[in-house]
Amino acid sequence: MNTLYFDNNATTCVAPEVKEAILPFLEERYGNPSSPHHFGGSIEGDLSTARQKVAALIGASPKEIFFTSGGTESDNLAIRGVLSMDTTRKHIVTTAVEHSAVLVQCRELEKMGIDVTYLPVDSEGTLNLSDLEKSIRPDTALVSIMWANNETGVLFPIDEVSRICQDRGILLHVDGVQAVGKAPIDLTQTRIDLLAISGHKIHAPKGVGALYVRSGIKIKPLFWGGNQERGRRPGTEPVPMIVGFGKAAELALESIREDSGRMRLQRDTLERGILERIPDTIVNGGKDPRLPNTLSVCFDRVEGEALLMLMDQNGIVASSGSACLSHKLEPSHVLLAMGVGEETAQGAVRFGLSRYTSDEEIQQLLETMPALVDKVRSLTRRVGRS
Amino acid sequence: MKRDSPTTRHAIPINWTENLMSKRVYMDHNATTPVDPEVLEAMLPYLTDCYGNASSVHEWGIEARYGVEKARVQLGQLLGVPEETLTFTSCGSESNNTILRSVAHQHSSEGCHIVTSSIEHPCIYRCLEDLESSGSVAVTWIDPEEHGVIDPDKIGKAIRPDTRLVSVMLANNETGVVQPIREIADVAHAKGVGVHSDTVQALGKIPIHLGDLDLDFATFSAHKVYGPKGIGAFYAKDPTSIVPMIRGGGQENRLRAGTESVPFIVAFGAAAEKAFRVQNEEAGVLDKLRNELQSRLIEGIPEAVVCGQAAERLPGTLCICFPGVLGTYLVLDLAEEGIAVSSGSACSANQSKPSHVLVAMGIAPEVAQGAVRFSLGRANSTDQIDELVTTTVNLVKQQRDHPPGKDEELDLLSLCD
Ligand SMILES: Cc1ncc(COP(=O)(O)O)c(C=O)c1O
Ligand SMILES: Cc1ncc(COP(=O)(O)O)c(C=O)c1O
Repeated sequence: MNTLYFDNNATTCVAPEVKEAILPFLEERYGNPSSPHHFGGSIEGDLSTARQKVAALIGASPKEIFFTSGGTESDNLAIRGVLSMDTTRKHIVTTAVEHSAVLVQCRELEKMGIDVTYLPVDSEGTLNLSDLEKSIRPDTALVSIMWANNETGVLFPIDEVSRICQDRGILLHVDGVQAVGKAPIDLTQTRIDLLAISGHKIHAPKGVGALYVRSGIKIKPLFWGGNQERGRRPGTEPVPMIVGFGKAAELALESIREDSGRMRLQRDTLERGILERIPDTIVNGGKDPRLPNTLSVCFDRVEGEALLMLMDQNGIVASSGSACLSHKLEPSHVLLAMGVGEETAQGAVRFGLSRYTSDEEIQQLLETMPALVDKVRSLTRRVGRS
Repeated sequence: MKRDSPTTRHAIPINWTENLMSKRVYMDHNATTPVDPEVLEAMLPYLTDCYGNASSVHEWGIEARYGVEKARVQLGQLLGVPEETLTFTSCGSESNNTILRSVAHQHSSEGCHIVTSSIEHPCIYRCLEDLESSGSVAVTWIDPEEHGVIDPDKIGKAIRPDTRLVSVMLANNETGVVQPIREIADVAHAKGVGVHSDTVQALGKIPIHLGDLDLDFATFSAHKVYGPKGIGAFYAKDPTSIVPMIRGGGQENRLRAGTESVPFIVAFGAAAEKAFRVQNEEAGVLDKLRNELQSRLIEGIPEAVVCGQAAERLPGTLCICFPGVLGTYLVLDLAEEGIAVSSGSACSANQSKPSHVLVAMGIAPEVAQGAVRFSLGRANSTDQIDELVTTTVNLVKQQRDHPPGKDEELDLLSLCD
C-alpha cells in the first residue's frame, strides 16, 4: 500500500538535494566551525553560504539571520529577547490563533506580570485591523503575529500590520514558519523587525530554524555560551542541518512560483471534490488570502480522531490540526476562535500539500475519502455521541 | 564515493584513519568528533523515509516517536539511569543554561547562591554571570588546585545557608582533568544542596554512572561522542524541578518545546549505544596513545609543561605548553601541515588571551600562551604519532627561532572574529 502523505504542515520530507548537501558534513567535513584549522576553517564558508541562501529566500541580508534549533526557539528568542531589552514595557499584542510556540509562552509571561492582548478573528479567520490599532498602548513592547496559520492556512495582512506598527513605533515579530517557502516573503518590501522560520517545513531536517533580526534591532539571547551566531545563539553550530536548511531555502526560492501555482490548483481540486462528494462539509478559512497548500475542513457528524485513524489504516496521512497538540482530544483553539461550534470543530481534518504531491495522489485521496467519512458517520450514528 | 540510490539508502561507511592518514591528522576530538559510520547508518532512514513528526498520532508519527524513545533508552543505558529522567535539547550549551536557570528560577523569591568552579565552559560561566548581573543569583567561583583538580573541601566551605546548587564539570575540555564529582556531591548533599555536573566532555570517554555519582543534574552533547552537532540532552533526577527555557508544544514531556529533531536524536542514541559497547576498550587504547605522544613530545621539547599531569585525565586529552611559543600560531602552523589540534576550547580559539582554565590552575600566563591541546579519538592510530611529533617539534623550534612579529599578530586578529 502506498501512503498518501498529506501532513506537510506538520512536517515535510527532506528533499533529495538537501540530503545530498548534508551528507559530506556528516562524513568527511566534520570540523568545528569555530576551530582555526582547516578541518573547521573551510566550514565557515559553508555556513555563510547557507546564511546567504536563507537570507535570500526572505529578502534579508545575511547578517540579519541567526540560526536556531527551530521555529519554536526562534519565537521564544524573539519575544523574550525583545521583552528583556526594555523591562519597563510590559505589554504585548498577539492573536488568539497563534501557534503554541507563541501562545504557551504568552501565557507564561502573563504569570510573570506581562499583559497580553489576544486579538480575536472573525469566522473566516481574518483579523480586524482596527482591533490591532486599539490594542496598542504606551507600554506595548511588541506585536507578535503569525503570517500564515498552521491549521487553516489563512494569511494575515502583514503589510498593513507592519504599517500600523511602524506608525505607532512598535516592534513587530512575525511567526513566518508556515508562510516561508509557500507564500512570497520579501522583507525589502515589508518591514518586519523579527521573523521566525523553521527548516523542517521546507524540506530541510527537523531541528534547525532561524530568526531574522532586522539590522539595528537589539535582542537579548535566550541563553549564553560561546560566540557562535555572534553571541545571539551559542552552542556548536549544527553544520549539517544549517547547510541542509540553506539548500532547502535555495530550492524553495527557485521553485516557489511554480510550486505554489501547482499546489493551489491541486488544493482547489481537492476542495471542490470533497465538497461535491461529501455532504455537510465546511471549509475553514476558505476565502483568499490563504496558503496555496492548505485545506482545513470540518465534516459534520464526524469524530475527527476516529476518521484520522481510519484514514491512517487506509494509508492516508493527515491531521486534525497542530501536531504539537494533537494528543489532546480538545477541539482546535483556532477553529473555536473562528466561532466554529465545539462539535463541528471535533470533525476537523487538515490536508497539507507539498512540492512532491502529485495530481494522482489528489485523485486517489478524492476517491477514498467519501467512503471513509461515510463509515465514521454511520458508526457515530449507531454508537451515538457521548 | 558513490552516494546512495533510493534502494540502497545507507551510506557506505568511511574509514577516517585510512582517509586521513594519507594527508591529514585530526586530533581535535574535544572540539568535535566525526559522526561514526554506525551512527550515520542509524540516522539515515530518519533523514529520508521516516520523516514523520514524532508528535503526530498517525503511523508516520509513531515510527518517528519510536526512534526518539529508543534513543532515550540507549542514552539511559550508557548513563545508568531510567530514560524518563532524560530530556533532549539542541546542544550542550542549551542543556547547561536550562539547568542553571531552572535552579535560579525556582529559588528566585528566597535568594539563590550557586557554587561553581573557575574552569567551567563559557556556557556555564556566562550564564551564571548573566544571572548574577540581573541579581537572580550570587555565585562563588572556586579555583582549582595546581593540577587542575577542584578540592571538595573548598566547595564545602563555600556552601552557605542560601546555597541551592553546586555545579562542577566532570572533565575539563582543555586539560581533560577529571573532577572528584562523587566527593563533591557527598559534601554538597550533606548540606542539603543539589549538584549539577557538565559531563559534555566526559561522556563516552570514561564510564559515567549517574546513580553512582549521585548527581541531581547532568548535561550532554552528542557531537563529542561521535554523534552529530546540534543535539544535546540533560538529566534531571527529578524532572519536575525543571523550568522549561523554550516553551510551546508539549514535546519532551513539556520540558523542551519544538518539533523533535528525530534523525539527530536517533543518531545521539546510536552514538550512546556504541559508546556503551566500546568505551572501556577505547579508553585503554587512547590512554596508551596519549601517553606515548606525551612522552615523545617531552623528549623533543624537554621544557614543555603538561597541564594536569598529576591528575586523573580523560584518556585522549593532552594539553601541553611549549614555553616561548604562542599556541594560537602553532595551531595555525600545524593546520598548514594538515594536523588539526586546538589551542584551547574551540569556542574561544579565536582569542589570543591565555586560557582562563590554565591561568586558574596557576600556570604563568606566558607559559599558558604556549598551550596546545591534542585530543585523540577514533580518528587516530599509532602510526600517526611519528610524523606528528616530528612536525610539532620542528614547528616549535622554528617559532622560537623566528618569533612572529607585530604584523602577523594583526593578521591573526583580523582572521579571527
Ligand atoms: C506557525 C508555526 N509556528 C511555529 C512552529 C514551530 O516550529 P518548530 O516545529 O520548528 O519548532 C510551527 C510548527 O510546528 C508552526 O506551524
Ligand atoms: C565542557 C563543555 N561543556 C559544554 C559544551 C557545549 O556543547 P555544545 O557545543 O553542544 O553547545 C562544550 C563544548 O563545546 C564543552 O566542552
